[in-house]
Parts: sequence; structure tokens; C-alpha cells
Amino acid sequence: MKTANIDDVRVELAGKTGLDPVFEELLFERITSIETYGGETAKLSKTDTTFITALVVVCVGLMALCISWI
Amino acid sequence: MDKQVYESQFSTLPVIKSERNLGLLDSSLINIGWGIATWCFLTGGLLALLVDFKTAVIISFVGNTLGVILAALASTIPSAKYGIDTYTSIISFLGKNGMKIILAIFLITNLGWVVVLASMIARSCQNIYEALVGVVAPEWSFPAITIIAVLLTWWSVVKGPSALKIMNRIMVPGLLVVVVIMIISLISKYDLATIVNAKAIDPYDGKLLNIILVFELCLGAGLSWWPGLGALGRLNKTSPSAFWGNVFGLSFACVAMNVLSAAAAYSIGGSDPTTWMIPLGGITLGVIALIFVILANMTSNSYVMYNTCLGLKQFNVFSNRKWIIVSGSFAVPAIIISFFPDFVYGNYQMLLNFCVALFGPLSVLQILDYYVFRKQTINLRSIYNKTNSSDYYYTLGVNWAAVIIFILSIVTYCAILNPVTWESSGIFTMTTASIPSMAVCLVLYYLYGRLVIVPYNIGNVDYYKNVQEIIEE
Repeated sequence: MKTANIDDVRVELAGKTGLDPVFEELLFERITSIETYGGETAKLSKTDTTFITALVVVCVGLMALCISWI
Repeated sequence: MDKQVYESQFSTLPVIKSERNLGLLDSSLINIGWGIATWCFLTGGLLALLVDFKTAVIISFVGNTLGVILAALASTIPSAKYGIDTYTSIISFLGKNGMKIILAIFLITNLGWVVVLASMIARSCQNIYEALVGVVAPEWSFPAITIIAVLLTWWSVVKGPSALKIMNRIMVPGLLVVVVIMIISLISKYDLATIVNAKAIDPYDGKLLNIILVFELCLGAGLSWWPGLGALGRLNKTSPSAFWGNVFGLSFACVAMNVLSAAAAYSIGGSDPTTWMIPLGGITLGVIALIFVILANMTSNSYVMYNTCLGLKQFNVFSNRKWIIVSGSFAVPAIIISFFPDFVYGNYQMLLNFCVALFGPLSVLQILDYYVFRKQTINLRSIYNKTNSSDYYYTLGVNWAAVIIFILSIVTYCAILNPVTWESSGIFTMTTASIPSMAVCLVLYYLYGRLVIVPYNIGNVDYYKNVQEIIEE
């Protein structure tokens, strides 16, 4: 089982990224941080999803209205 | 500037939370600054050619909004979560070398966008010169100013996202003021009822054909942002600020510009904004408006070039190069093409149609991969692992199934609507070209996923189960 541990990331990725060592170490720090918290941002909320769905429904309705004018 | 922040901004390393500086307001302003450029006016002009005003308003809103939502769900959300740009995020379903194939295509389309905007800057400068001096600008000035515009864009890209943020905070409010003044001028000079009831200027035969054609254009306009969304998304503090910034800036603001431009085209009879801004606003106001359009184009061009150059870092030859070298490698071909600006400028609608054909299926692939198969969880170690031990190595670095399905989707699109000639097959008015193209992609990749990817854990799609275990501990 993988853990959010920089040594673990270093062992897995050292020399495999194509980056020079300075960039690689920066990368390991970032990956460790992101894995620890499961990502840097949360998912879209249910409210966001509701608004997105509503926008799509409105768009489909407007398109149907437009075609009905023909 | 702190070295870590510098490197994360200028390389493909993930941007972590402490380095992110965009909330909803800044995200919206940057998206508005990116979105509002001459391409909005060009699209508005095309709308006016083919459909009446009311239809133009509706189709512009529908096409742009659906396109942006699709592209943002595909590209912005993963980029915001993991701090990676679009080209890095697509490795999960295309493989490292598969991504490079797609990236090569993007380089060509983005070269087109850069030259289109630069050539519009040149046209604006020529019109300003003619208005102020009263003499037609020499023809050589068109390619010359286009080249200068590309060079200035390169300079701003070298300065980086902080410089772009400052440019937007100055340019966007000024541009919005100019737009409001233009709207007031339009309404005061031309009867509002006349504009609202305006008919199409030069449509094809068949009202439905024209509606579907402009829907494809506007959907293409919305989807065309897909390659660059990740570069902005990863700088946002939250996913909602990244997503809604896209919707407010790249959809709603662009729709407003489409409508303004269409209204001007109906009233004055020209789709080229550099020709109607001075007749509409008078010399003083028209020149000021054109100057802001020039600035808007510069800002948008900077984003296109910045996003593209981030993608160039994926190629081994550029991955450890200085930013000025990487950006220069893109700027030089753009400068060469700028010697022939008429060719690109005159084929704008072709660019839009190609964007739908390319980015529609890619968005579908990414949405299926990220949300359905991977449950919104990517293995960053495998993203950055360039060897065959990576989960995303697939076969010779390419997920061939995804690439083949992508190609089949493009073929479907082109079979229904020729993006070069606009000749369409019989079913085009009933189905559009984009919907069947994306449907082919959706059905084929979903079936492939359920029958092959998930059962055989191709690309380690079960990785999200490991992440759940880590967090629960």
C-alpha cells in the first residue's frame, strides 16, 4: 500500500522524470504534499453541480425554442 | 521572486496551494481578459451573416456555454485539483507519447490563433492610422505590425503569469467601459427595434442549415479554450473559482461581445470590428476603443502563447531549457507565418470548426477517463514517470485505443461537415456534426472502458481505491 511519504516518492521516481535533480526534488515535495491531502482543491460542490445542470437544461431549452421558430 | 514559485509557474511541476494566487474575482477577470479579443467580434460578424439578431443571441449563448462547460469539466477541474496543466493531465488517458501526438496538433492550431490575433492588431493599427492621418496605410504595414505584435506577445510571455495578471487588472475594466460606451453609441445612433428585428445579412438557403452552422461555430468557440484551461485552472485556490471563472469570462463575456459585434454588423454592415468602431464611436472614441481592442488582443495572445509554451516543456528537448528559449521556439514559427497573415486571417471559421472536431472528442475522452473510470483520482507519480514502469505507459507510451477512437470521431465530424469548405451531408441539419462526433467517442470509449479498461485495470484505473485507503488511515 502506498503512503504519502517523500522517501517513498523519491525511491519510486528518482531518475525517471527526465528532470534535473533540483527540479526532481521540487517535484517530490509537491507530489508528497498533494498525496497527503488528496489534492490541492476540493471537488465541485452539489450546489455547483446543480447550477451546471440548470445551465445545460436552459441551453437545451433555448436551442429547442430557436428551432421551433423556423 | 521566490525560486520555487518561479519554477512552478514556468515548468510543468504541480502548483501547490501556497503558490496559488487566484480567487473567483481574479480568475474571472483573467478569463475575461483572455476571452475578449477580436475573435469575439469575428464570431459576431459571422453570426450576423447567417442568422437574425434574436437567433444570434440565443445560439451564441447556447454554443459558447455548452462548449465552455464541456471543456472546463474536462480540463479545468483535474488541473485545479492536481496543479497540472492540460497537457500533463491528458497523459492519464493518452499516455506520454500519445499526449505528444495531440500536443503537436495543438501547436499548429495555436500558431493559427496567435497569428489571427496579431493580424487583427495590425488591422486595428492601420485603421487608427487612416482615421488620424487620412491616408490609407501601406500594405507592407500589415505583415510588419503583425510581426511586431508577435514579438511583444513573446516579451510578455517571458515575464510570466504575474505580468499577465497586472495587465488584466488594467485592461479588462478599461475594455468593459469601452464596450458599454460602444453599446450606448450603437443604441443612440441606430434604432434598437431595428437591431432586434435585424435579418441575416447573407445566409445560405435553409434557415435550419444556418442555425446549425452558427451553433457549430459557437460550440467551437467554447471548446477552443480546452488546451489552455489547465494552465489557468492550476493557479486557482479552489475548483469553483477555476470553473466559474471560465464560465463568466470565456462564455458570458464572449457572448456579450458576440452580440455587440453582431448588432454592429447588422447596423453598419461590416463584420470586421476594426472597420465599424470608428464610424460608430467617432474618431476619438473609435480610436480609444481600437486601442483597448489592441490591448485585449495582446493579453489574449499572451495567454495562448504562454499555455502553448507550457506544453512544449513536455518534449524532452525543452524540459530543462530556460523559459526564454522554450517561448522563443514557438514565437519564431509564429513570426514566419506572420509574413503571410491574410491566409490565416481569412480562414478564421476553419479554425473554429477544427476546434470542435479536435477538442470535442478530447473533452469527452477526458471526462470519461477522469470522472467515470478514475473517480476523479490521478496517480501523479505515474504522470511524471517517463519510463515503462508508469501506470500510464500503455503500449509504447500510447493508449492506442483512445487515439484510434479520437481519430474515428474526427472522421465522423468531417464526414458530416467539411471544416474547410463547409459542405455538409444530408444529416447535418438534423444532428449537427459535433454531436455525432462526440457521441461516437462517448459510446466507443465507454464500451472499451467497461469491457477492457476496468476489468483488466488498464492504466491502473483502480488507483482511486488506494487513495481512499490512505485518507481513511
